[in-house]
Amino acid sequence: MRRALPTAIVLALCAADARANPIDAFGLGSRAIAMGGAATAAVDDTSANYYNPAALARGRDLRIDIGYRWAQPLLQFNGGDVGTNATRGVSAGLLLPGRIGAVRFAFGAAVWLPDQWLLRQRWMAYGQPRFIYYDNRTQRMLLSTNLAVQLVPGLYLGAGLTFMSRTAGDVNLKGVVSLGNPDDSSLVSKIDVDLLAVRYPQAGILWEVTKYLSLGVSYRHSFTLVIDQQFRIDGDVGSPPIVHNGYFSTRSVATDLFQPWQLTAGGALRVTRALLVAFDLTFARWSEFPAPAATVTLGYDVGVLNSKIHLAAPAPYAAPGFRDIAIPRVGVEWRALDRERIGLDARGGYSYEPSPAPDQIGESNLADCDKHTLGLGVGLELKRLGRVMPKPLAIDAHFSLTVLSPRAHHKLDPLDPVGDYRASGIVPQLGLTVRSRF
Amino acid sequence: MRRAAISFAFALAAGCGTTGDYAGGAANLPDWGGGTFAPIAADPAQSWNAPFVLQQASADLADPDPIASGAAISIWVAVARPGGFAIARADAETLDGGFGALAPALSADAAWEQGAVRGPSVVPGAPWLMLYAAGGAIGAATSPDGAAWSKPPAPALTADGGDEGASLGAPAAIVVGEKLRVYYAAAGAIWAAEAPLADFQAARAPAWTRLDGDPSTPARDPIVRGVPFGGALDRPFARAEPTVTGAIRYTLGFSVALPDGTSGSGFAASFDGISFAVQQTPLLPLAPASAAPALVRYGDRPLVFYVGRFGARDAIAVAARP
Repeated sequence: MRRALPTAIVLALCAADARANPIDAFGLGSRAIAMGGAATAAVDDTSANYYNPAALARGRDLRIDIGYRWAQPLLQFNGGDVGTNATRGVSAGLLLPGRIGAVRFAFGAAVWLPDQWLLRQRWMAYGQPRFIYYDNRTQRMLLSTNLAVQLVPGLYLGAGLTFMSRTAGDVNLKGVVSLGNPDDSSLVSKIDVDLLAVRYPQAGILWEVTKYLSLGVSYRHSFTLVIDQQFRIDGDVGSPPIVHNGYFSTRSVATDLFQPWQLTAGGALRVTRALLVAFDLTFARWSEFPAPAATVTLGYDVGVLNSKIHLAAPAPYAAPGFRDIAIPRVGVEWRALDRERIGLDARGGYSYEPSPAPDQIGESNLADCDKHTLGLGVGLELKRLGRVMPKPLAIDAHFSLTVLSPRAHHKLDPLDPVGDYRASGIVPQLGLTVRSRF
Repeated sequence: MRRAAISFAFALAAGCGTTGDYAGGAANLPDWGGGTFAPIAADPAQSWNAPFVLQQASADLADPDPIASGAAISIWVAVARPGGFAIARADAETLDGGFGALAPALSADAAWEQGAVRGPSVVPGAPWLMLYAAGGAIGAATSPDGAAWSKPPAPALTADGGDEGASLGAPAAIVVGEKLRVYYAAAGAIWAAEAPLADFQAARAPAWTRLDGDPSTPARDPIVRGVPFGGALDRPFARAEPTVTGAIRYTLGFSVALPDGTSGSGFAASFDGISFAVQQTPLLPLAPASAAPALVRYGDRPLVFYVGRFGARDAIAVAARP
């Protein structure tokens, strides 16, 4: 009978460096991004899959939107660029309206497909400075599906799921481990890795109060990617064996890609026939942000050698202490040109996202700053493209610039290996979206 | 038509590549804190035999005191001469380019110096100041340019005969406001005293105030009493620099006598210059032996100059973060 030795729980030999998703960071669709993300009540295209699923039931046309965007975080510690990767990729959305009796409904799907990594998981030394908001957060794909219904004229309800996958796997070796000469070891390996589906819900409601005023509320649930990996080696040690049926195992359970739950209330007011003003206020529950650390469990039984092995019990890391935040967004859209065959919209928006991260005074260096984002964009609407495209085709372009307010972090310990530092940066973003109706 | 449109859209979406490049975000990370350093590795761009940046075929070198100004570095060292030590200076336009020849800076020509001057600690200014160890006391020399030095006939600071013992070791000087603060080795620990800077500028005898490393106790305490991995402390090196947050961070490097008779390098830091947190591990690996660590910010990297063994001679080496 093997005897299991006390297991050492090692917290965070490494730390996850990614939080939330690329759409939270950069938005979805050129129109909404140009309007500062104030889209909960103003959205009328497939980006409703993210901003407010209820709005999918608003339209009566089949919609297909496709776009491409590029964002390059230019982030600095003490004036030196940290070389953060760009985020770029394709976004696509689908809206399929339908009717069952008197009930109008719509099915929607949206996908963000980065063209560098479908999903990047990364763990770094716990104390390594990193910009948590942009470092790895944006390097993942996103697939969201939703169903919306019209409850009564002017009142819509929508909900759906966003899908991700996570890995869980074991690597097992079994055989004889030679102490003197590794070449004499005889081990058979077995690898068992699963790619598991994970999902989290979102929902929304939209009320067209009047022809000119819409109000909406949306909710996106929290998400944490859990990575579970185990390595175990079983067998005799030495030849002839000095340990029979010994084993060593290590299991790492890490969290990554945390996304807080978010509740957004928004309004859209058509001030004049040509001018739309939208406002959103989002509450983001960052205080649930878990310690960005891997839990590593070590287990072993090496018989007579057990007494020679001493594993120090590591100190647990403190909670990161993030705080909840409120994010206001405002956007405007002005129909600058409205002709028989062509229309032109000018858009602008602003959002302010306070940092949920506290001052990094201790061992962690989860740098983040308050973020001011200015969005600008134009939309060209081609109204008559003949039989091929009988309904208007919109081509939207956007540019946004996020400015990270410089923030200094003073360490309490003068021996801190990182020392004091100042974090700052900008994040320019460009994109193009083609919205088509059929 | 709808079918064609849908097919086109999904074909476009699925056709994008997945050719990611290296995961970035780890360049220019801040690292101006405590921790460990390692001798730097050889680099083809360097004109010297890494990690040794300065050596003499016929003399041992000791007690480096580097000052960086942009890409240039000046370094003062103690050079072993028959019968004692003298202080010399070498300059480098860039570290990779290496140091030029050593030029004499200060020699032991006063009786109280007992034939040896060493442990230079240079403070740029008007005038430049150099504090040094000689004859169990600390001397102070001045210079208009850091090259030619003159000194008064008497030592600037002598041991108090009490806790410090009867003899003072090497000094490390920094400017704190209107005062010159000196950390110095005595009785196996690091102590501190300060005097008005104006006294040195006016070439009059400094009015010293001895500082207490722990005011909560009735007796005067050293600034750094010891480290877990070794015994007596010697040859401190001090810096006081503002951090990006506006705080002043004081750092102390020092030699540590090891149980095997060799020496190692220790480190301590503080935000008030009096109450120091002592790093529990050596600043440099304990083997091979090192001594007299001196931290300097060179560009965006912290470097440690130290004394190591190069063949049959003690020479000046450089370490960086691993």
